[in-house]
Amino acid sequence: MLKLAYSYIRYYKSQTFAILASIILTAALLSGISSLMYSSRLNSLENNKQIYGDWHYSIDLDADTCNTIQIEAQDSNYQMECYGKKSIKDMTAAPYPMYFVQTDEAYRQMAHRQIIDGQYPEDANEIAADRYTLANLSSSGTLGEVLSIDGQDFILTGIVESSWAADTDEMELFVANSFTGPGTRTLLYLQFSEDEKLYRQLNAFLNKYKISGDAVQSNDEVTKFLSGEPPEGIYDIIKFGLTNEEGNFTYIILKLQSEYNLAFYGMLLLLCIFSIFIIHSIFSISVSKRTSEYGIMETLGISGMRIGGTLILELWLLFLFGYPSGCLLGNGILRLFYQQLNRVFTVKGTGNADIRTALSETDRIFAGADSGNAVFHTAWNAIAAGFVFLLTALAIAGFSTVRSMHRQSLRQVINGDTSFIKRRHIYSFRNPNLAHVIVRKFMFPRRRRVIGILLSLSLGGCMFLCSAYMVENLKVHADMSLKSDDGLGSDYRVSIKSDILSDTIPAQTVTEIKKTAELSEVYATRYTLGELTIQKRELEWDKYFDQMNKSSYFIQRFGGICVQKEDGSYGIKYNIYGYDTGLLEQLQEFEIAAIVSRPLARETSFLNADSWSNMQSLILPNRQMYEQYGIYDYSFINASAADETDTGIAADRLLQKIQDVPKAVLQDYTTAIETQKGHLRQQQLFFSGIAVILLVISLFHIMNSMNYSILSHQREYGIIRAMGITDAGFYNMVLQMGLLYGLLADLLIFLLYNLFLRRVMDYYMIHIVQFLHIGKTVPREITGSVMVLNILIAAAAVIIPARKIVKSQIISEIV
Amino acid sequence: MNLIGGLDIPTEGNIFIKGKDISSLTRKELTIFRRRNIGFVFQNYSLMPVLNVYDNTALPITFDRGNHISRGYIEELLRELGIWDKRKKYPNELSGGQQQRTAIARALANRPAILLADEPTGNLDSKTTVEVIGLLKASCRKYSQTILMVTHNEAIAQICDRIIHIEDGMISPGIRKLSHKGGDDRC
Repeated sequence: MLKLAYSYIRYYKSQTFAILASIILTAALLSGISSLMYSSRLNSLENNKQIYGDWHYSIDLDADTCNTIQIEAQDSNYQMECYGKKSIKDMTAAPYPMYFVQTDEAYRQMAHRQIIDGQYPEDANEIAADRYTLANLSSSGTLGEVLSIDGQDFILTGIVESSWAADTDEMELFVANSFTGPGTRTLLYLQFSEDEKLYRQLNAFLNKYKISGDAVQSNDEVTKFLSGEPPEGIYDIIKFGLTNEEGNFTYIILKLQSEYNLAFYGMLLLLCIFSIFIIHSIFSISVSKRTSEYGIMETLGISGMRIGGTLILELWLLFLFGYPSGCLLGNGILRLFYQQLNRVFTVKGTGNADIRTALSETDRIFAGADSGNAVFHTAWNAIAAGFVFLLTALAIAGFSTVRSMHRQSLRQVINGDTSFIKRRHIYSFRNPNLAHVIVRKFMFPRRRRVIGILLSLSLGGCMFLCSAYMVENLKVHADMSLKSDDGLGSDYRVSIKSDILSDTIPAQTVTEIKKTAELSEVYATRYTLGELTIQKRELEWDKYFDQMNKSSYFIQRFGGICVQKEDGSYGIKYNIYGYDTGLLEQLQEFEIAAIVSRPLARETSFLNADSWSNMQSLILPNRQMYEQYGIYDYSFINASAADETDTGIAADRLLQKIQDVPKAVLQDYTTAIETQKGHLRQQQLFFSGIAVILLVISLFHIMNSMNYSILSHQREYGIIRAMGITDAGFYNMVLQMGLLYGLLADLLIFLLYNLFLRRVMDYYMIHIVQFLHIGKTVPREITGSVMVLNILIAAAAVIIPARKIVKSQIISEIV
Repeated sequence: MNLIGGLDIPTEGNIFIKGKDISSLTRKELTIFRRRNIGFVFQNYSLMPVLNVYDNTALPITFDRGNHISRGYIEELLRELGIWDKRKKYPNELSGGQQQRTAIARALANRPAILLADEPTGNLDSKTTVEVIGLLKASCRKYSQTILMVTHNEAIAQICDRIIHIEDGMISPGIRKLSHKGGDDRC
């Protein structure tokens, strides 16, 4: 069997090459994308560990419990890699909210808050802090400097590694254990072994020390990659989505994504299916070429099982060679270009946390370095899974071919396709040219097969159009995200680091900033908090605000974000923004997004409350803010550097203007915007590249099927030529068929894309990846190019073998 | 045969058919000349498997633009050859003899001046062989055509008006002779 399979491989060289090339290309694509996604995931995890700390859970304990607890690092049910403690000794509100914390070495290591200069405080009047905090305390950061905080003097003994943007709202002053303060809270930070499920280890730990789960806070940005919580069963997710009132299809998709990394496995599955489709298609063409040979083999007494075995062996031999080669190719190329593509599948898109808000210069340099050090990881698991899947699928494909042969009698198998016998028309009565009838019959033998061929022909084009559609909208989304989330795409943002609404930027300062020559597009925004009253019956989901109502900021001031009043109605807090004319003009393009999704230039850090993000907002002209609420000063300013002005100089000028404004901080987005644009370019490049590869595989397949379709009837074409058709007539005849194939494939692409795939993409972009705007369509030039390319390829695909036929001697084809 | 039929190009010498040197014709001219003047009958029939008997017969006529199929002529041919009843059958539904009759019908459809038959009975049994040769002979008389036939069968050769023996690729002059049955060397 092996020998026979090998002989077939060697004999049908062009077919072998076609199958092998498809296997190599699809394996390269499959393994390459898997590794890219896997690497991005691991790098995101590493990145998040840098930003949010290399710990998994923190437990809020009172100081006594914390001191008495004797933690064992090893247990049969968990394995502790590291644990550390942070005690909050005291806090001060002036000039900014700051916490006096005492930490141990393990905590500082996990939270990336190590002493980078000097030493950790040992006496009660000593402190250490990061440069960002020191800068806000107007300290030069010289060791030994005496700092006055809240009326008390402290000696600076050490500089702490700066924390990332996520924590900069909480400035910390590191103190010694001997520091006395009213605080009794201690946070225990745990880092478990990542080889086991984290949630199981946590449960075992909590059980062992009899600690309530309520005291546990997960480092979500890290644990979401590591099974930080027990996943919900797939069945339960689907059942809830389909049967519960609150569930829907989007719920199922998003839940599967968060619990089971649907995007990764979904992509793998789709690529596997695509690979199978192409390989099977090429293989069936190859097999149909020799159906009669198999029929003869069966006549000679070789069992169907052995023939099937030969077929599968043939495929497997090619697969065993092609798959590793493809994996090597895909991973090799991506490894080479990984530094240029590492952010394509980064878990965070263009969200707020991606922008390093209010980082010190040191931080920014450090932040910039993280993506540059991204490491490429080979997704061995995915490669192995793909191998097993494709190996099995190829075996099924082989057996299905044998099964389809068995449905026919031996004589039918030997005679080949005789489906045309069913039609008893005399075509010459109606067709002045029978040559076209013959070609049509050769190229459109069976309806099912034709549909299969056309589907496979249109697959690449459809995928290309879908990718192009995604890329087009991604561009708009990224641009709008920058505008809406990250300071209107402005280079700088000035805001007030305070949670008191009366802390503002004076109008006079704004006027001066607007006059600054180095700055342009200065938009100043007024802000206040409003309350919307709605009736009880109007609040359909009354538990929606439960979690958000726990925010201390709102509890202290208003009793919560959404509070029920005595008459039963609810008062819901919302943002009121006052925009100037320039901003209002920009808002026009956000018409839909501003109403249903999120406000332009939302302010998440202003109120210093986590729950206050993406809340309801009302946008008014600045004039109305003054007339209706008497608000004259501003809460934040967005500005950009003027053309041809150095961004550093522009930032300095802005800093000079706001230096007298209490609590005003400047956020520099220039690096972030550049990084963001770089990521977008990477994504565009990658998706377009993948689309092109898919298109190439598909086109390769078109060429192969057409080539076969023509060459398999070489003898019949020889007869037609002997009967007297001219070369031009022959070319014309096959060209018409090629063009017909191309046009039908185009029609199918058009219908599939517009009626089905585009809607799927719309759903995906609106509900799954939540693009702000999906109004962009694929440019007509691209759609047109795909269509024309399809036709050209179909034409070339028939002309090449036709030329081969014309060049050969008629007599050699007939005999 | 291939050279006379214009399927092959001579490396030297000339071939004259109806006073025209076909070796000097361009590819296109040669194709058109072949289509209009020469009919082929092959040993393996060389029928189009996807066309029925009627369409196989009409096939060469349709290559000439504006040349309408004479349904009456094709019917006459098929009736003459005894396959009118089979006109809607496909080649793989026919016996060898019926397939060869279809091939003859196709060869005659364009009313060619010359009919080239390459071992037309090589795949047929003796009874069918006699029938096919009879049909060829009859059609050549009826439509005033020249039939040039290659055969290894001496008995069939004896039915022909003129026999040229070829041995090891060379015409044997010694045994070149006119048929004793016919008085002339033309149909």
